[in-house]
Amino acid sequence: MIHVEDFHKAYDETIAVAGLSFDVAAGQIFGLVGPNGAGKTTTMRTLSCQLTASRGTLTVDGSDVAAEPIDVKQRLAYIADDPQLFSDLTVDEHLAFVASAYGVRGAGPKAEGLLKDFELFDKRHTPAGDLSRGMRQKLAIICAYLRDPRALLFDEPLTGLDPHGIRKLKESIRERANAGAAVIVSSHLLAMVEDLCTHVLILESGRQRFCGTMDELRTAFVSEDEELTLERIFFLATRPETESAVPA
Amino acid sequence: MFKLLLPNTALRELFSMRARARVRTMWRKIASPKRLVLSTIAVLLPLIWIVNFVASVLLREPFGQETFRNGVFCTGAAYCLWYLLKASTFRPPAAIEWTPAESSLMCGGPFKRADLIRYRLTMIFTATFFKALFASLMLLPELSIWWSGFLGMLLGLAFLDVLRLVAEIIITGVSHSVFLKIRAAMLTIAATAGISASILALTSTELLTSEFPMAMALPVEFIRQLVNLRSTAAGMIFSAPLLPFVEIITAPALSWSLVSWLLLGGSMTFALTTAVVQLDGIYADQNAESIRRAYASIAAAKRAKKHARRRNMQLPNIARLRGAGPIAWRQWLGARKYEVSLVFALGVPAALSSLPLLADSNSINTFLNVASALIFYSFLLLPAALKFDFRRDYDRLPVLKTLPVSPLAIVVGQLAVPVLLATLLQAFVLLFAYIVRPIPFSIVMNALLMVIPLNVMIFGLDNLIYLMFPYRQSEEGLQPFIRATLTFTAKGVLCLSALTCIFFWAVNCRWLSELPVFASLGGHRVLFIIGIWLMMLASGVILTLLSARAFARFDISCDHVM
Repeated sequence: MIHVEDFHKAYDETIAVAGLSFDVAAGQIFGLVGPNGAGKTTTMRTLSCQLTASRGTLTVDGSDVAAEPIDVKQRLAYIADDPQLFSDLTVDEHLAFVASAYGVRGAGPKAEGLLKDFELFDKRHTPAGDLSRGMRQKLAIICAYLRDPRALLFDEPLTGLDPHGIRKLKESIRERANAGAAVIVSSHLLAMVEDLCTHVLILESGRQRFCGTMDELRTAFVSEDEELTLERIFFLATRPETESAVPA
Repeated sequence: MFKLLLPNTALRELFSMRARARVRTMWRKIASPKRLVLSTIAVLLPLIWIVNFVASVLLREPFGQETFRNGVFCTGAAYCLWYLLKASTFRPPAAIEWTPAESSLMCGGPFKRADLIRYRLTMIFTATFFKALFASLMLLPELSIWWSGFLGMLLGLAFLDVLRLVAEIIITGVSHSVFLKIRAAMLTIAATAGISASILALTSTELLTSEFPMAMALPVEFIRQLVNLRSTAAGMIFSAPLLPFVEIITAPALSWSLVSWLLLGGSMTFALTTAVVQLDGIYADQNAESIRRAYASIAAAKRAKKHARRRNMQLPNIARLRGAGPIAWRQWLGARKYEVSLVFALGVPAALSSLPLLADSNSINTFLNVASALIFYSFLLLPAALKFDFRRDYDRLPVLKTLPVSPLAIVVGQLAVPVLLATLLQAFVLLFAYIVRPIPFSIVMNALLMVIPLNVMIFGLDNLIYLMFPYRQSEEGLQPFIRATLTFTAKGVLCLSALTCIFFWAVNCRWLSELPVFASLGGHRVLFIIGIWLMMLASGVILTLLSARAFARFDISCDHVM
């Protein structure tokens, strides 16, 4: 569903991503982890057609990101860590816009269901500018879910969500993947990634350190220590060259 | 019409929803108890303005046909020249700037680039519609056919707005070397027109025989000569694109000639609108291609850098000054990025203020003419040229609120750079005038002492109004137009109040100077100057304190729109 091959991206004189390649099939939940500045958000923003790749091929459901951006945007949803909404439009006006923009049929009942699921139904007439950080995040997720995208990209999706919201989001991500969506989740919450994702890609300084299933990951980083968690593997894979010790 | 302009249904609906939402938000702000005083002023000012407007339309003498025609031509040409000069001196980072929400929800949506451009054009044309309506109502006494006047204004203003967009798209799309060539060409054209008009104005018999003071007569004569330049071959070529719109506006009666001008004007505006969509597409493709081409050299440079020896990192030492230091330092860095453009932007008021030096008259009078012209142009042009304060910090206001610095220190830091730059410019002009036409240095010193409080007043006022009604500089639509009109009215009212105070002070200075308490000052002139200086200083301090209060009261949750 999502295919990335030899992807490079530079900002002015900084190379953010260099030679990244991976595939995310339908039904997979793909964890994208790495330190700050590793290139996770750049990769997701390029996949969602917000940035132009400096080199490489990126496709979503067979459509090329550079050549067919409208097809890609129609099939993919990107939920940023800090969702940008029209502050003066209300929650239902946002949903009306999304339904119209993406040609969603039967949007009314679907929107009502999503609003109830994410406990935002009572706020449907509230302007987005008056919502709390977590509610804005929920609205961005609802806007994405309303159009049933084939590919979902989440950048730090749990930021600002309450425990009910977190549980609901995790459930919904699994449901969407089971229904055939390809999901990429970028997060620093390694326990959440380990719990949710079927595959993981570790990035560091724009370069790919590992890409595979969770089991393959554990095999690749064999250790005599106790059971390897993703957190421990993350430090093994991304520790600075000067440091020898692995944090406990 | 709306459908034709914006064929995409979703964007059309969004446009309507956002228009309704703006009215809703505006009403919420007006009805907010926190802004009751401001809201009352905001309601009263337009009321005064509407009454004044209706009275001027009904009671004033209409201009002669030739004067009216020239006026329309010149306004259009000035608008056009301003847009082109602005685009060719201040290169915008992007031709069409999107807000973060627009960027995320619209640019990230399944829309063609052309549809997004049409959305922006619809916003611009909506504002143009109201501007044209307002202008044609104001010029009702001059218009022989009201609807043709309105259509002419609408087409003409739309043409100019689209022309601005075309210029900005081209400027942001071309390479740096091409941009420099365009800038040089535009400045040469503007300078040639300005110098020619200045020479003609200074040598004209009307100026020499004028009964008005030089400072008043010279700008009028300068404008008259600029109008006359239109009848030259070069003037006719440059003003030719505006001809259809002027003909439509000033048409004396319904005729086939008017119909043909309407068709021509409409076609020109339509063609330019189509060109915007096409040009944007071309430059977007070129931009993507240049990103790919640049990557090879960036990667090579990165490899070379990796092997270079590392130096210890050094941070600049910035004086804190209770927090105002780093704020001012940041604005100073911003100003330095635009240093070339700033030279041109400040050159215009400097040149215009120095014009009286070319006239042959008494040195003191000439110096006073320069000083009064400098005050006038400082009020008129400097706030727009030096926006290194709150006005360019819309998206950074929440960050400024989080700083552990008092509101007053933040305001002082924000005002420091524009005040400093304006003071340097004014000092330069005054000293230049002193060198060219020597006068007693004490007069120059008095003038120099006045400029700092004057500049604090000018920028304090602009920032105070901005903090009460913050907005994004690149905002399009009707709101900026209404806001500009209200701001201008408010400034006019304040200037009138200041002039009234000065008048009363001047009238009462003579007898006050005879009081024993002021007797040691040495006469009414000294007392007058000290009084004016103190008044300006007090106004500057009050405006700074009010700005600090406005900043402290600024509420991110309801005053800041993404």
